[in-house]
Order: sequence, then structure tokens, then C-alpha cells
Amino acid sequence: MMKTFLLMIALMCSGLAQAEILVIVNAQNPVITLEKKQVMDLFMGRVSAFPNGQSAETLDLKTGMPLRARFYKTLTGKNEAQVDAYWATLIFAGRMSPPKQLADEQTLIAEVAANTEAIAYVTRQALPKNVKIVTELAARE
Amino acid sequence: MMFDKRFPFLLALLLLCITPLAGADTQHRLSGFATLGIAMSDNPELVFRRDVTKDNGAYEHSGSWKSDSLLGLQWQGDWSPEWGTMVQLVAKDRFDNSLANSIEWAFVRYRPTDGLDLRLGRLGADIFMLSEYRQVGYAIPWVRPPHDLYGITSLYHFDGADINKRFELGNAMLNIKAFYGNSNEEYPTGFNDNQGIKINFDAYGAGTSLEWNYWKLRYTYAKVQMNSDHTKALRNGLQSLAPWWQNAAVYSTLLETENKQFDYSQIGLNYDNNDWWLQGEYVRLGSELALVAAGKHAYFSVGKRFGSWGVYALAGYAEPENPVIAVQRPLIAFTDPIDQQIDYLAKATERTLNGVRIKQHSYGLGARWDFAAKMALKIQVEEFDVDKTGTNLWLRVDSTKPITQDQKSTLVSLALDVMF
Repeated sequence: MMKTFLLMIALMCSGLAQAEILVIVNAQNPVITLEKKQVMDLFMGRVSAFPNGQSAETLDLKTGMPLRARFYKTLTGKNEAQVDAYWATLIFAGRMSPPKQLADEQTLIAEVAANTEAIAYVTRQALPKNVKIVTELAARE
Repeated sequence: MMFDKRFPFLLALLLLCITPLAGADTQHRLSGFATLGIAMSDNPELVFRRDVTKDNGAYEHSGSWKSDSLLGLQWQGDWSPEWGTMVQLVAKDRFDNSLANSIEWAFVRYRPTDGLDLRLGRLGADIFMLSEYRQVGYAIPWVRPPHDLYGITSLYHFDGADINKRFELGNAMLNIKAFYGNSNEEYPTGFNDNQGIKINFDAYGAGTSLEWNYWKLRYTYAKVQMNSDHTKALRNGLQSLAPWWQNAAVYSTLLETENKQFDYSQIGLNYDNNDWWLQGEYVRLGSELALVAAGKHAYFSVGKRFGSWGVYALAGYAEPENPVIAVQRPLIAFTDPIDQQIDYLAKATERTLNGVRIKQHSYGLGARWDFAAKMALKIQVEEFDVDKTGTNLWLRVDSTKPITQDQKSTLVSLALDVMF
């Protein structure tokens, strides 16, 4: 009985931890930390560089993946359709290139590990050494 | 002319051709947008058209597929953080449907530092709030940009250059933009007669937009200088009769187009807190030419979202600045054929001077349903009141018959918008 109870607690805690989103960059990126607004400016195409002026490449998950919806909802309050409609105004006006969309979180991490300009978001998890966290977002369900 | 005005366009095309040689790091992105739409109007005398570049539209009892349907394809090449190129092709029903006209944008972008963009080539005419994405149905809340204002906009793109600089002011973001370019395209006369005129003009202007939290405010001023003469035959006729017809010289001057200018002053406001949104825009069109009717154009729209559904209301108006010009023929009668000729010229002059007037207002309701990723369905119902002296946003079913009564139209529009 006690075991089951502890297991339930553990599951609940892991559930809470899962709800957190990590924003990651390459370990060699001189950026140490980013504010939520700076992450938003990057992922909403308002800026194309990190605050120190170094150019940034935003990496995204494919449309329809639950983490993508959660990330944008947390960051901007917009649902995916709103985010896509917003991006349509920038892409088809020729103003900004959209974030590159990748298939899953492991591909995102591998790309960030290999690219010093990359920035991406993943769920809380153990990360390789050449990737570092610049901010954490408490996901809004 | 010091150089061919197509120079920026041709240069951009050349640069686009060499882009693939730029290296393996080049990122290519193909994307696109499409709308399948039908518009149904119930007015027996007027034909609904999306804007003044259209020579066809929705008649009574027959929905028009061609008004809003289109397909856009875009290729974007980013060869470094500084250099990028883009080409956008749009297939739709247009008056002069050549491949050259189907190229909406084709430009090279240089970004020496984040926040400063220089572009050269064929660029979107960024004069109104929706100008740069007015054909992308998925990006806008309505079936089409509001008719009372966007119906007047004939200028989709020009060949030239623009510069955009971003400034960060605390939590707000300020963008300042300037542009210059030339356009040489054929437009319908608006008399539903398959006739067109090739208009050559230079456009230049500057704009600023401020984004702060949920708010976006924007102001633009743009000037257009006409390079072509479109009324020579009519003016020659009037001038040849000037010895017998005192007002002929006055009408002739009014009809001049070459080296005449008109301008747009635009203000726009947008608020969107992800739950409620509102958008309003006002444009004053000033004009030295009688062939471009000076006037005021505005719309206001408010909407509410419910998950993947949204509803909205919109209202708009268009009001000419100048009264109708009554062309008076000389009071004394002449012998034929001079008398006949005077009558014909008086009618043609009056039709030309007043045919460009736009006087109407509208209100409507609509709904949008984002039923799948990157796909939306919309329905929109609008009531238009069109003054008999200002029908130019519409075509006449019978262009030989003048409109003698004020007109009403209930316009029902359905659209499926996708982006990919």
C-alpha cells in the first residue's frame, strides 16, 4: 500500500516536471540566459539574432506536435493556428524565414549540439554536454 | 530616363539565378498558400469585384469562383545570415495574366546587422496594413481585405528598393521603412469592356509601425507620380473644339495624367489579446488627377475567438472628396457633324471624369473555423450600399447603361484557405 502511494507521488512529481519546457542553445554560445520576451522575439520572427548580436537560427517541431502547441501557448498565449497565421504574415511578405521544423526532440537536441547558432525547446530531460539551458518555461496547459 | 526602370527587377532575377552557386550552406524553403472561394451578390445591375484590378466578378444569380480563388508559391533561399533571396508567384484571375505579372515578389535581401534590411528587386507595395499579405487568406481574419478600403488598391508590387530599420524602445518595437519603385502594368478601364490601359508610375513613401504588447499602430505616407498619358485622344478632341466650347479647355486640363501625382496617408490600429481582436484603418487619398478620385476610405472590425472558432463583425465606408462634375456642352447649337461630335465628347468626358468615383458603405458578419492544421474555412455576409454616383469598385452589368438609382447588394462569401 505504501509502495503504491509513493509510486503515485513519484508519478505526479514527474508529471509536474514534464510540464516544464527547456530552451536550449549550443554550449559554445556565449549567451548565458535569455528572458521570456527575448525567446518570444526570436521565435516570433521579431529579431534574427541573440541579444549580443550573434545571428540565431530558431528550430521548431513540426506543426501538430503537442510540445509545439504547448511551447507557443506558454510563450505567446496563442494557439497553433494563430501562430501559423501570424507567421504567414511574415513569411509571405518576405520579411523573415520561419523556424526550421524538425521531426522530434532528439533531432532538435542533436542539431543544437552541432550548430552554435541554434536555439530550440525541449521537455525537461538529461541533455548532452554540448547543449545548455538558457531559460525554463512553466508550461500552461 | 537615366536607366531602364526594370533594372532593379532584372538585377534581382540575375542574382536569383546565381544563388544556387552560393554554396552548400544555402537553405531552401518552398512554401505556399491557396484560397478556394466563392462570392455571391444579389444585385442585378452591379458586378462585385474584389478590387479595381479585376475585370470580372460576381453577377446576380451566379457565384464567382474567380474573385477570391488563387494559388501562391514561394521559394526562399537563405545563403547566409546577411544575404537572402525570394520569389513568389501567384496564379489568379488577373486582367493582364502574363508570367511577368504573376511574379509578385522577386528580390534580394541584404541584412548587414540584425534589425536593418535592404531589399532590391520586385517588392510588395507596403502602403496599407495588409498590403504585403493581402492575398494570403489564411493570414487574415476575413474572406478578403475589407472592400471599402482595399478595393481601391491597384498597386500590388513595384520594381525598386526599400530599407527597413528596427528600433527597440523598452518593451516596444518601432520599425521605420522607406521605399521607391516603378510599376508598368495594364489595368482594366472599369467599364466591363475587356479594355485595359497600361499605366506607368513611380511610387515612393515612408512608413512607421509600433508594436507594444497587444497593440500595433502604423502610419504610412506614399506618393505616386504618373508617367503615362491616358487621355490624349479625348483631350485632343476637346482642344479642337475649344474655339466653340469655352469649358473644353477646363475639362481637358482636368483629364491630364502625365506628371500628375496622387498620395495616400494611412493610419492603422490593431489590438489582439488572443481572445478578442480589433482592427481599424483609415486612408485619405489625395489626388491632382481627376482620373484618380480623391477620397476617404476606412473600415473597422472586431472579433472574438472560441478555441478553433472565431466570429467577427466589420463595417467600412468610402467617400469621394469632390462633387460630381456636370459636363456642360455649349448652349448654342451647331450644325452636324460638329454638334454630334460635341455631344459625344461631352458624354465621354463626363463618363471619364465621374466613372472613377467611389461612394459606398458596408457592414457585415463572419466566422472562421480553423478545422485542421494550416486550413481554415470562412463564411462572410455583407450588406453594401452603393451610391449611384460612386460605383467604381463594382462593374456595371451593362456598361452602356448609366446607374440612375442607389444600389444595394447582399454579398455572401465562402472561402477555404490553406498554407503549406
